[in-house]
Amino acid sequence: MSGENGMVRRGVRIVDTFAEAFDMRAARVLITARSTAWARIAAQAMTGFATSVIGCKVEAGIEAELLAHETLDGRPGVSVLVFGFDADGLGGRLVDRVGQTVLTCPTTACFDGLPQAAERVKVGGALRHFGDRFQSSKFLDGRRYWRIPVMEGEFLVQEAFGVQKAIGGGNFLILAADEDTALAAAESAVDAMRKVRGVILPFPGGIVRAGSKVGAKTSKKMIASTNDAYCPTLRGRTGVTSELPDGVNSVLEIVVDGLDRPAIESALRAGIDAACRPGVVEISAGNYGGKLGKHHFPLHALMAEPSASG
Amino acid sequence: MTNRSVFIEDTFAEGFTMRAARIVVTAKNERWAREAALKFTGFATSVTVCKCEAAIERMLPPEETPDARPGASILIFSTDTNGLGKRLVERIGQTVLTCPTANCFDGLPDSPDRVPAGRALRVFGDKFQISKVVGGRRYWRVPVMEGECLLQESFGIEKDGIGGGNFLILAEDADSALGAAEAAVAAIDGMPGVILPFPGGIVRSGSKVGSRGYTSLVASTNDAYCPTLRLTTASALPEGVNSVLEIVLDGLSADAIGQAMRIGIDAACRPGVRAITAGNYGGNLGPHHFHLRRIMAGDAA
Repeated sequence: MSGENGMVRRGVRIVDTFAEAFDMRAARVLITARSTAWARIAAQAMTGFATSVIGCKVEAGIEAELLAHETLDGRPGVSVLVFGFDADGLGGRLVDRVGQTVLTCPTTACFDGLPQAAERVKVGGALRHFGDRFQSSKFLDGRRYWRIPVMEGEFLVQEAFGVQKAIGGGNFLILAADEDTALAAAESAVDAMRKVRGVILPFPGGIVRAGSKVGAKTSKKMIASTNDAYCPTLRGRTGVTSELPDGVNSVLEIVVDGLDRPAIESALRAGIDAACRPGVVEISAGNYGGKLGKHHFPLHALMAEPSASG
Repeated sequence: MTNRSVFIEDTFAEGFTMRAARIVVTAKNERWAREAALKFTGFATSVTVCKCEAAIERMLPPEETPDARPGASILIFSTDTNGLGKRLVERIGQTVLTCPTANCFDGLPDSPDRVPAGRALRVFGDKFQISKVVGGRRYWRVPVMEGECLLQESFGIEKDGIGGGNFLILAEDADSALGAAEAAVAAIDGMPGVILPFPGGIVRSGSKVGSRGYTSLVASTNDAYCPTLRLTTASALPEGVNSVLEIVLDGLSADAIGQAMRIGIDAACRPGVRAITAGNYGGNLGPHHFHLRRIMAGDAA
């Protein structure tokens, strides 16, 4: 689809295609602690096993680390974004995950990072029951906070968390000459994308190697199976129509979930630009023909604009 | 009994029988083995809500792994074999199959009880997967965009794993409690056959069974050990104790837990710590009792 007047960035072809993404709901959880290290430990536990909403019920990742002057209680923190299908489900998952990984974690407190969102789900308002009626609440600037007694001292958690419309499944594919090149390009894309606020990369280290197609050729029960058209080891196999150009022997994908379209666009732009390195043959994207997800990110339009990172 | 002037209470930790598996994740380098292992072991603090408890047992040098690459050894615990098998399929499928350069091997090869996690995941290959039998074990090569994911067909289950080993650090202030708990975690880190499933290895929110305030609640804050409730409840805290942290341990055997408790408690006996105690339910719920004084005297658990 790249055509004769296709787009090229630093010798890497940008395929004329689009990423297809979906409506989701998102919350932003701010975890503060005595040190950045402890905030990160809680955030890592909270965002584990949260790669795909189908398998894990949520997609979550670390958005940013926060300096002490950027947080509500003047301590260092980490901002986590959590994505789910709907507000109710997301609220339940927040109660589970904050209860298991923040309430339990030494020195942490937990705040809502979307105070302007009109839709709100109870998190502290549910977890307060752990305090067994010894908890107390404080009302500051129109927001309620719960002080829950724990063995270490107290856990401070906000009563309600904002939930907003968001987008899941922004993506691009890095088609490279070999595995080492694909990984190095993906790593540099991840580094660039992690500087963008309002997005997360939910997969391990921000990268997916197991791209999937809808359904399976060999089973009607399976909802997804390996994307054989992009598997280099299946090129030339009977029953496989490979999409891989000559010289491509490894493909990695970056999946990005974001609070809004501009955030995903910034991240895709920065990531694709960083991935255009020697040994990378092509950048493409995953879609389902455009009929499943209402958010389309055409790569050529994206890359025609200058990258935010310059 | 005291250890370096820290009082060791005459009590015991009460542990429960659980099923355990050991997963060896290898990758191109230690960084990617750790990325997969961190995602695998996240949100796995307590079996009641997370359906499993998991953490990194230790990082492995290339000479200790089946494919001679750097790796991470993970222990994962659940209440029954069937459930543990499902958790393996979910977590390996979401966090190892997807992770660049990662392979996944069974770390309990001698266990006769096995769950077919790799066999279940092979179908992602849409019949393009291939199996190899090497040394009597079957492995699946599942084609992915990067190349291939190598997965062992079945994983051994330890039916006599133990969950809920624990000890509590009673300290003068929050900083002393955290310093002692961090020292305990550092001492236990890397010991074979045990994991600390909570964030950073430490729990600050110990719980009691049930609740006085809400009948539907299965567990609520352990008010007897909450320093801010000293005057409003029947406190179990000695004078001068103002912060308490707990270390929870899951292990492949009572011996592994007992050894780790001894090393961890010893490391936690620092200035600013007043006493070490442990959590139990009177001894009637869990069959494994870890008596602190026997452990610190060097007796087997």
